[in-house]
Amino acid sequence: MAYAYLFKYIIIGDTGVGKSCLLLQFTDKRFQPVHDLTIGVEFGARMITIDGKQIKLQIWDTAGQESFRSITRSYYRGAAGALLVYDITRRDTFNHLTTWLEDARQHSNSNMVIMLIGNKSDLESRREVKKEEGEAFAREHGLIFMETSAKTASNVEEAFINTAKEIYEKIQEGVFDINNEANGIKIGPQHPTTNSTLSGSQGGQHAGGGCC
Amino acid sequence: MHMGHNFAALCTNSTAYGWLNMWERLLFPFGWFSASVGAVNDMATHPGYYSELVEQSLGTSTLATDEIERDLHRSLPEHPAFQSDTGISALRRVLTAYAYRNPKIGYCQAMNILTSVLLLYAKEEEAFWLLVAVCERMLPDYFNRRIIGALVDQAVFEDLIREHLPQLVEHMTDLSFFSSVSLSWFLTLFISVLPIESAVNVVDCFFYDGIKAILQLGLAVLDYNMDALISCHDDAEAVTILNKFFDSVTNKDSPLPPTVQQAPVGNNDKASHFTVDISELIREAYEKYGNIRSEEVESSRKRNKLHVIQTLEDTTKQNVIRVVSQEVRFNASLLDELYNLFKRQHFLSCYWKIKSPALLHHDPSQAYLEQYQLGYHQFSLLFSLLEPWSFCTAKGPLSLWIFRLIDENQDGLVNFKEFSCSLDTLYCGSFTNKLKFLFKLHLPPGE
Repeated sequence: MAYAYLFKYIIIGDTGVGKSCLLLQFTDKRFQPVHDLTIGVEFGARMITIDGKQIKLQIWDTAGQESFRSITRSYYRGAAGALLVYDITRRDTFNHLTTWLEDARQHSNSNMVIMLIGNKSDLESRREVKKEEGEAFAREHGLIFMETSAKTASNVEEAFINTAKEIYEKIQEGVFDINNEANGIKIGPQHPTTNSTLSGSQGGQHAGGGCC
Repeated sequence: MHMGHNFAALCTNSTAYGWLNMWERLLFPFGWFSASVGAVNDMATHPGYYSELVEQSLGTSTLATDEIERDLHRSLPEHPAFQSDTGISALRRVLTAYAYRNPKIGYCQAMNILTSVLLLYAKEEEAFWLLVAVCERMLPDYFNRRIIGALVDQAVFEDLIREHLPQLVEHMTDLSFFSSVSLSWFLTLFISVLPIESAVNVVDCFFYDGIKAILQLGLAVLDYNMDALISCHDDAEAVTILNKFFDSVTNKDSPLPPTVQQAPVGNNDKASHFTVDISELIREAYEKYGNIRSEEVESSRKRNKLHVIQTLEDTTKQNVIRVVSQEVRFNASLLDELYNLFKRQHFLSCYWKIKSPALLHHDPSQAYLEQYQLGYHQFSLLFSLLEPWSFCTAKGPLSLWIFRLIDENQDGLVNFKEFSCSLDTLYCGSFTNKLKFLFKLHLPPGE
């Protein structure tokens, strides 16, 4: 499928916050409560439409355990967007955000768009981190913020798409050098025709299905 | 019979049947446990050790047990043995007992996947001793908090690719892709990428030949997909090719029904694809790359280890300096020197005093800033060399007061940021700031 742009994303955050589930919900529109642990990295991809343009999101899902940080680091390079995920029912995953952010800022290009995600918003009764705290953290560090639920799919589309919109705007403003693939943005093999369908192009693929 | 009494019972009929056939098929007539001489000896010389460990460790609550708990249902979740409480409890016991036995390793993800497979083919106590053999001897340093052993073997693997697959090297400018994609191959002995009924054959080879078996299979996998890999345009495409390949691996000798197979994500278009038999793949690995000698692997490990650790240390340093440079007026090269002095002081104290507070708190998995800290004694030694009034006679109490002032959380340790900020004020601060700083020094603690 022809695309105007390809954006590379990386999903980061502590183990068990729901990174793989967010990816699966976005690419396959399903929730898998029981799934294999992510060792190293996995990836998924999906087409979205912004401003009438086909944009392919190529999303790298990483392992969250501290030990795997050194592996995660090599994926920041060449990412245009990052989803930094914590679990609203586990305070410690929120407390670790600063370290994640330090790592992200150190190893990514300075224009990388970071979306802070408080996941598991369906578990309101077990909430340990207030929404306002997430908002405050995001404001303080210049991130976009959303609470999502990979289980109910609430805000999942929005999280991925809003990040893409922000990247797209930065491209329009000329902030990104789109000819440098190290920025995580690739121009499509051909320009899309102007009358390409705006909807119905949401075909997903996950970890190896279909061709790229 | 050595293996799987307990687990055969709790698996479905077909799995139990599969297990019996697997038993005949294994390279070792007595199973993995007997293949690991070390594990046999360990168990024989430590009667009752495992059950004692289980008793002591169950119910304890640590970071490791939290992480184990979170991963119990993410270890071969498609396998019926781990859909019941019996299987999950056995997994919990082995992992918790291990974390208790060896707090230096504790629990690292991937150990859960290895252990669940071990439990399928060995008794619980045997599985424990096999885990000991794997974590402490067969995969040295793999599961420590920075998975250094695995990183080293990735570098070894890169060396081997350069030597044996030059066509691939010509095409790929950056070999680091292969090292990151192969991480799970090493950490889980291919269990997390191959269908389970094929992965067990790889584990067979591993218990027979050690890491060499994994390295040569890795080369065979890349070799098998050479044409496709050479013609792909980016990392994602290469990952897709390898995932498809792994999904297509079958085991014609395995009687496990496909439902038991741990279906890796995205195996939707299997029908349109070729298949390759695991025994054929393993045979190819031995034929083409079986001449890799263990001594070569060992010397390559030694060569790469220093580099791996240095890279990790450099990352820590860059991170700390980037954070601290936003707070102080020292330039980058000065901070760099200061960091080296600080870290050296930390290690000197570790060297001379086993029980120094800095060493007791040393934990490489901590946030970068917290990795190297100084207690009062080391601080005053270093600070007295760097402070602006080093020739003043009455400076003793000053360094103590400064230490007390900058140790904000009062844990008796200061990190690099606190250290450099105080020096920054004394050297580069405005007159008012210096005065404020000195005034605060003279306030009694707690004010």
